[in-house]
Amino acid sequence: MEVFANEYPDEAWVVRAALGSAFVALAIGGLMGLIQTLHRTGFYDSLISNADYYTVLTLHGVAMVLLFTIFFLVGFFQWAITDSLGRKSEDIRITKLWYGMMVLGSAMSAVTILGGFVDSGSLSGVEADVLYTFYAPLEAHPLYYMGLAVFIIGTWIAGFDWFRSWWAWKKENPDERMPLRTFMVLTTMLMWYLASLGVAISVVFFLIPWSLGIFDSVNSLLTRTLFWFFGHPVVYFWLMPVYMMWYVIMPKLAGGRLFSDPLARIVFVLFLVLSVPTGIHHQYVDPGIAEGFKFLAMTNTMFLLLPSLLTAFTVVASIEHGARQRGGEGYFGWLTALPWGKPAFTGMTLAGLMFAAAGFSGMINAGMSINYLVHNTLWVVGHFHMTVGTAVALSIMAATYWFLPKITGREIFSRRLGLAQVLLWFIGMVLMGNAMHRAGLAGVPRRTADPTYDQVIYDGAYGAIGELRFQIALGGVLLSLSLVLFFAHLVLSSFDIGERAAATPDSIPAPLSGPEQAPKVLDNIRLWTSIAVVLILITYILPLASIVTDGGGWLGDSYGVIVAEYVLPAVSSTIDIFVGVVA
Amino acid sequence: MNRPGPVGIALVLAFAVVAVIEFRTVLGMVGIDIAIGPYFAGAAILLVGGAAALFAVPEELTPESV
Ligand code: HEM
Ligand SMILES: [Cu+2]
Repeated sequence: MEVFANEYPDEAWVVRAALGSAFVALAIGGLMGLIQTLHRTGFYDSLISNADYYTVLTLHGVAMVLLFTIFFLVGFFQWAITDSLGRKSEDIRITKLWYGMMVLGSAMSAVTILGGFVDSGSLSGVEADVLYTFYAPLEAHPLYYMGLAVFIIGTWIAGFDWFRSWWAWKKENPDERMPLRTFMVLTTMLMWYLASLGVAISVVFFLIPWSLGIFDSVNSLLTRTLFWFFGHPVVYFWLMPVYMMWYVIMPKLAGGRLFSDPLARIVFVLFLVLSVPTGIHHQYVDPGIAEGFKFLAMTNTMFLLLPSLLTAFTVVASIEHGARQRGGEGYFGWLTALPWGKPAFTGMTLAGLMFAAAGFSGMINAGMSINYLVHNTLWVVGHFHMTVGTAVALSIMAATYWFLPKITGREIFSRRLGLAQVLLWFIGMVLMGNAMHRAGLAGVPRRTADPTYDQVIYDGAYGAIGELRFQIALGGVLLSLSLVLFFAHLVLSSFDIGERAAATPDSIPAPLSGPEQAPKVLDNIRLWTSIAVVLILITYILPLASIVTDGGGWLGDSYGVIVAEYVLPAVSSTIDIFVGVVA
Repeated sequence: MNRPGPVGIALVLAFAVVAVIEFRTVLGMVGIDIAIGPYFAGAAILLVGGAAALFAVPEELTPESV
């Protein structure tokens, strides 16, 4: 057996390219993050003007949660499919095509966002200060939405590419169970197809025509609801590859084996079924949606805790097994037998720990009534920096220390440096994340360049608000330092300064309880997808219908000149002709 | 229990940094206000200690180092 990079050089190229794109986005996003923390806490606010804050924030959000996470995902999934099925891409040109489309789409959107910094010259009208949530009434340049559409279609083709590999594999191995990693990739992609449909409809049918001036207005509530149809499940798109790392890599690093393959499959099935019909929990405060629908979304959301709790159990059980294999003993003594010297292991463990903490603030967010207390405050920002910003981002960075040798054939540069980086991220995020939560409780708003406008003093915060501000800024600086270490590490590893021998190939050990223990029905992804579709119809048909019928039609108040003067007359004369022919 | 290795010390100190800073807020909640200076100085010392411990981590991983 060879190192992945040598065994599948073409696929490894795409994986490396995707990771490279992800890390470029991370670097840009990190720089914007630093600017934001220092700007809004008042420690250094002369770099940008308040008017440019949304440009920075849009770039941060888009670079971090759309580009960094998803580019990493496609690279990682390509590896997972190729390695677990043991076969090359069916057609490497398709693999390169979807990667190319994703890059093209990102570039299109990035140009429009960057245009926001330019006030004169040829780029002066090109802007996209609409944040990564991009629903109306904020309006961007059409190229921004088109870029997003191209990017998403790229991911759809990627999913198709992976399904194709599996179909081909199944033909040759009709009696074998689907490998776990393949199962995880395919369920994740099915979830993604369902989820991204909402945003695709919003972009293609409403936002693009609107930004091109074909419609004068759109129904903001409708585009907002379609965004959140996608906006909640997208968090599982970030999280599911990370769960794959926790299930597949962590037990291995701990010297053990995955505790239960069937349990892991159940978790991914639950995500497929429950991810989408929860999006309305982002709209608890939205006046256009009836309370009953919100209650339904809340119920589904609470059920979604289950797969994460199952994951916590399975992953901890697996690493405990590993620790005991390495001679660990006692109720807690086994913790000392874990490989804390490996940055990949330590980083992912710290990420998981922080995810558990963030799960608690997530339950507050998810409660329909208590959500009113924290909605649109820095609390929410604290919450998602501990989830996507750490559970996902830190796991990705940590896993890279393990993953990089597989796809480059060279060892990473230094364990110490890796450890310093993950520990620094952890400390920085505890400071920034905690202080953001507390500032939010005091009422400090999110998405605000200068939260002290009108001399608001935010009474009632535990600890002076000035201290919270300082902790946010300090945390942000430590996080940025951690990023610098991470990139330094990548550069040093790529120049092979450490001169480590090429990584020895290794494989993922078989689980303690294997797929043969899992009921066959678990692999019936058609069934699970159908259930997911039914749940989506139940939770979304009525709210969407009421938004359109009671809330201003498909397009809000007015159709606009082009539609009124050309489209509608054309439609009605076509109908007249049709009626004439039939009669 | 084994004597903790450098990695263990670095980890424990990382948690300690966090605890020291957050503990001040907890004390504030029960009405005890402590000047900010000593707290951040304390945290900084722990941070430096953690960094020093990291330098003692051997690059090649041996069973003793974990
Ligand atoms: C160097 C590390 C980072 C720093 C200093 C940082 C800082 C910030 C700050 C201060 C805000 C709030 C701005 C506001 O509401 O006015 C913010 C928003 C945000 N951050 Fe970060 N962040 C960092 C890393 C990350 C990472 C790793 C992710 C995700 C992978 C992330 C995702 C987001 C998102 C989605 C928003 C919301 C944007 C919006 O409201 O539209 N950040 N960040
Ligand atoms: Cu959500």
